[in-house]
Order: sequence, then C-alpha cells, then structure tokens
Amino acid sequence: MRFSFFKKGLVVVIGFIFILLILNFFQKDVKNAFYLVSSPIQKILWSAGDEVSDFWETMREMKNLNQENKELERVNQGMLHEIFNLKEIKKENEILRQAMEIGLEKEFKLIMADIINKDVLQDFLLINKGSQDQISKGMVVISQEKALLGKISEVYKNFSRVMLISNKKSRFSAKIEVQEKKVLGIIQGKGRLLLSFERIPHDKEILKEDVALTDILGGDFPPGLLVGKVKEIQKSDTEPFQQVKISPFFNIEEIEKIFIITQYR
Amino acid sequence: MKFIKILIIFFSLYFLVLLQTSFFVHFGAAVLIPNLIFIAVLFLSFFENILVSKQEFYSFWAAIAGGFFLDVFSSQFIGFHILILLGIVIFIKAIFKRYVRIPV
Repeated sequence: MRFSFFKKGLVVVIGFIFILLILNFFQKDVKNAFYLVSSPIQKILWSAGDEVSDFWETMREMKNLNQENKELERVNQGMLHEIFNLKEIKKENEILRQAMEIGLEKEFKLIMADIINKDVLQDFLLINKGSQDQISKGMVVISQEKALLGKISEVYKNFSRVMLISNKKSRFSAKIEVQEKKVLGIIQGKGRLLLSFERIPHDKEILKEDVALTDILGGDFPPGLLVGKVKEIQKSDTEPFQQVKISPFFNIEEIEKIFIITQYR
Repeated sequence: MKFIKILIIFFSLYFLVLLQTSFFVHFGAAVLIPNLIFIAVLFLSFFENILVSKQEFYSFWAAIAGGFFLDVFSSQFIGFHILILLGIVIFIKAIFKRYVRIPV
C-alpha cells in the first residue's frame, strides 16, 4: 500500500519534471503564444495604468502646489530671458541640422514599437516587435528623445524582451562632458530603474545635473546617446573612487513609443 | 465543481499577473508594489487549511498556475516560480498538518 503510494508520487514528480522540460524546450513559442493572446488586454491595462498614475501623481503633488507655484514664478522670470536667447540658437540649429542632416532617422535606421509590459522582478520590458519584424538579439533600444533604454535580450516571433540599462547585469562605458573635458566611467545598472557611474577618480570634478552620454570606447552602444543625469555624488576617503548615482533619462511611465536601432552609421 | 473552482483560480491568477506587469508598473516609482501572485497563493494556502480542509489541494493548483504565469511574463525559465511557490505551499501544508489543530 505504502509502496504504491510512493510509486504514484514518483510518477507524478517525474511527469511534472518532464512537462517542465518540454515547456522549456519550446519556451519561446509558449511565451510568444501567451503574449499574443494577452497583448490586447495588456495594451488596455498599460494605458489605463498610465492615466491612473498621472492622476495619482497630480493628487500627491497637490500639497506642494502653492510653494511650487511661487518657485516657478521666480524661475519663469529667468526663463523669459533664456527664451529669447534660445530662439536665436534654434534658428541657427535648424539651419545647421538641415545642412548636416542630423535627424534621428538620418543617424539611425529605426523600428518603432510599443511597450507591452514590465518584468515583475527585474528591469526588463516586453515590446510588440519580434523576429518577424527583423529584430535580433543585441539591438539597441532608445526613446524618442534619444535616451538610451537598453538592449534586446531575447527575441520571440512577435515580441522581444528589452534588458534595461538599469538591470543589474547591464554594464557599459559612458562619459560626462564637463567644461569641454570628458570624464570616462562605467555605468552599472542597480535594479529598480537606478544607475550608478563607477570608476571615477576623486580628482575628477563632477556636478549634480551633469549629463552622462554613451561613449564610443565600450562599443556596445552608438556614441552620444543620453544615459542619465547625475543625482548624487559621494566622496569618501576610504573608497578609491567617487560614488555617483545617476537617474536615467527615460521614464517608463511616460514613454509611449520606443525605437529599436537596426543599423547605425 | 472542483474543476470550475480550479478554472476560477487559474483565470484570477492570469488577470492578477496581467495587472501586475501592465497596470501596477506605473506606480512602481511612488510605492513598492508587492508580488500579487505570491500574496494570492499564500492567502489561499493559509485559508484553505483553516477554513476549508487540510485535505484540499487548490493551493497546489494555484502555485502551479501562478508560478507558470510569473515565469511566462518574466525572463526566467519556465519552472522557476512554479518550484518556489510549490515549495512554499508544501511548507505551509506541512506546518499546518503537524503543528496546527483547528477547533471544529
């Protein structure tokens, strides 16, 4: 009796492991099929989440509205002056852009995609373009503002998974340009949409709000893509390097479309 | 009846995982969003033992379905979350069976 119970249990366990192995063997097809069925619902949930979070954000910031208003009025005065200057620069820039053809589409060959979901535990995104749309592993993903999002890490038939630069496995070289001098370092993903800029010696002067860009040295990403802004700098005598926290330029909550670079010059 | 209950659990968990990956993602920056599937399976596992019967096995089905959906919608291999959730459910069942007496 006891032996037959043991035998039955063993058969169940072996059967279960066997099913898991088969599912993993056809993992890409299984996942693709699920994404295909779920994507219409997920699109609705994604846009609903976007709207609700906007409303939530407004409610949260209501408290600081008065103080913020005064602050903005003060900033506004300064901005008016800036606008006049910028209009002049814009004109000049448009002429130069036309002359040098430096639009996003001119610089890269792009494929546009929508975000379907974000991984529960790690910094991954699922997008609605896959091998059917000529997407392949390792392609670079950017936002409309030329902000770097990450790389394609897995490709299914109709969908792809993007590993965000904030993923703990992501590591690449980048630079910060300070007064025409560039400070080179390594951008390390810290998880939960956070980054750090590492290997910066103490003698290099970096300020808050400085912008980190991709560098040609790493070779992983095309140079000049926006990575993030310096959020916090910590210098300690016991540490050989500065601790620089970076907040990424992309904001998952606000991104509507993303672009996959299929080719860059 | 049992099959319908399992089906309800299956679809509820599917909807929860869609909510977690597509809806609650937008609130991640403001508040820490817990893993809804883990909570649902834990909840079911506890209350199945207390309210229904220690001999019922709906929490096992919930662990398998919930784990499967978490694996499908994450970058992990299929089986990663299933095994974790099954482990938790078995642990809770064992604790209830050995150490907890519920007055009838």
